[in-house]
Amino acid sequence: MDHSNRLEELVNRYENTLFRAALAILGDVQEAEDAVQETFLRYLEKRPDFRDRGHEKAWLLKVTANRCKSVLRARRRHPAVELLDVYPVEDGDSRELVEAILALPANQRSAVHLHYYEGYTCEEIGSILGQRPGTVRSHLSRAREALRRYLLEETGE
Amino acid sequence: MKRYQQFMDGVAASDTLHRRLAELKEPEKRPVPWVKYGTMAAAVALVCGLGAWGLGKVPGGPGQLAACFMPTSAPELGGLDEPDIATAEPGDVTEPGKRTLGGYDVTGGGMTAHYILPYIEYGAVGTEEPSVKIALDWALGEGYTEGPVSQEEIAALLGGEDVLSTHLDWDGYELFGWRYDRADGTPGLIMISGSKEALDHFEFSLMYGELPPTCIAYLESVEQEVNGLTVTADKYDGEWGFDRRVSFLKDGWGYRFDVTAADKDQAELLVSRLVRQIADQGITPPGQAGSYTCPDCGVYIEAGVQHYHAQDGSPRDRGENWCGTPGADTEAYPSYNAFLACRTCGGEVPDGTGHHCVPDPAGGYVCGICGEAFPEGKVHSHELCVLPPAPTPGIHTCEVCGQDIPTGMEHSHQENHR
Repeated sequence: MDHSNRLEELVNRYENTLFRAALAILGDVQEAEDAVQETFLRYLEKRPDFRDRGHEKAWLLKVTANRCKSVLRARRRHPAVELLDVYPVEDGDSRELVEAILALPANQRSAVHLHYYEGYTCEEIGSILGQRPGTVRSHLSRAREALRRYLLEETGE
Repeated sequence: MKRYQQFMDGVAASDTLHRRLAELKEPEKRPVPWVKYGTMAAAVALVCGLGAWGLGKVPGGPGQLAACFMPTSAPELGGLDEPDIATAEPGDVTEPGKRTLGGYDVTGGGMTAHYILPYIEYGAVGTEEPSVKIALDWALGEGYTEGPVSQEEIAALLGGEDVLSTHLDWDGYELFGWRYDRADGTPGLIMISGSKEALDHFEFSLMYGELPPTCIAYLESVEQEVNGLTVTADKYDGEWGFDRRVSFLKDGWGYRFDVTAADKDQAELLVSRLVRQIADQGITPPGQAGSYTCPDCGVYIEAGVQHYHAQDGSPRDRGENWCGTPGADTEAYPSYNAFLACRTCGGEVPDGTGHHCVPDPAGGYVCGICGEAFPEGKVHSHELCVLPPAPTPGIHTCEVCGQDIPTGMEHSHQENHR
């Protein structure tokens, strides 16, 4: 399979995953789309051979996270468009939770998204974000503290 | 997190994005970084020349390169598992046209916002102002005892030697520390100074319960939220270097970090690193770093166990007098006897764990300290007792019920007598 077909396969399989992760980190739709595009450009440049699906996904997420870091480094303004205006949430409690998560620092948001939405462990998240597992646990702990009120309302959290 | 998952399930890449991705083409090849490998090429050429003149030791005879000078592989532009965007702090990268700071691209100049290192805005006071710093005088109250803080204790306070070098970038700084403890032995003020060159030094001070004192006040401070902390930042750019300062409170401790450096970016980098470290990991207060033998009473204290001296000089650790029942929030405070007291009943509890009064089999709750009973569901009005700095040993008699209560363990009975 040549790389253009391979790219199409990866785009179809991971574009939403990467877009969601980038959006969670950046909070801006346009910047998240650019980050995802840069990720696939990097794939075309590197042409890596993946061991398995897990490796494939982790690599793409890592590149996306790195790209988001670069964007955050250069960013000097808050996102112009509120994310919840683009993806509205009608339920008041859900909106509050999403707003609370978006209000977290970027490193905590990343850890929360990769852990609670993607299901990665702290060690895996550390590998993706280039941080120590202890640092990831610390981010999650602080995020949980900030979101405690919302987590207590959900059964089993 | 179900609601967050549901929200994210509804987020999808737009058709526009999908089209952009589908139309991506392989980018043009990047030029090989010859600056990085030019020296290797030059070295190889030199050895070849030396070999031709018989000056190099070349196994296998003339014309053969020594094995130690053979290039091991073609230049790599980045491993499969390690995208070549810096994810940690690898040190400066040399590449034509680029300028990096701690491994991050700052080609555009200035200190840029950083995914890991926080961006901090400093007060805008410059040398053209007639007076930019105000000298202050300060002194600690009576009863403080002074002592040195060793390099090991400095490292333990901040999380280990690895933190000092890797995260704070204090390598090359000669460190000195002093501590000023309160009369009861609890920590008061800790000051750590570091010096490297004539114009490269810093002072990191931390104080329990309040911001540390300082002998310099700045005009035009900038207050901002940084990594969850409310940070006040100041700066002064003068002929003696670039001064940067941050002050903030966290977990009952006040912090102040003053840096002077010949290089502005270096000063700001050190500040951002420290703020990140404290915001992220906090400190390990003195006495909690690990097991040790108390120099005053000789008792061996295990790691994680807080140890203080009571008013009568006897040692006390927080493992005593704990009812063992989890529950209400507790709050540490520096009482004279320096134990952790329950916000609700004043009972002693270790290490910030929750504490309720002991449930009474007959219903309601009974205070584990004074035995006073309270109706079930009623928040009784025992208050945290912040003991006076110099309490007088004795007994206090409750004016309402006449019960004898040790001084400093005052509690209110009003609600129970209504």
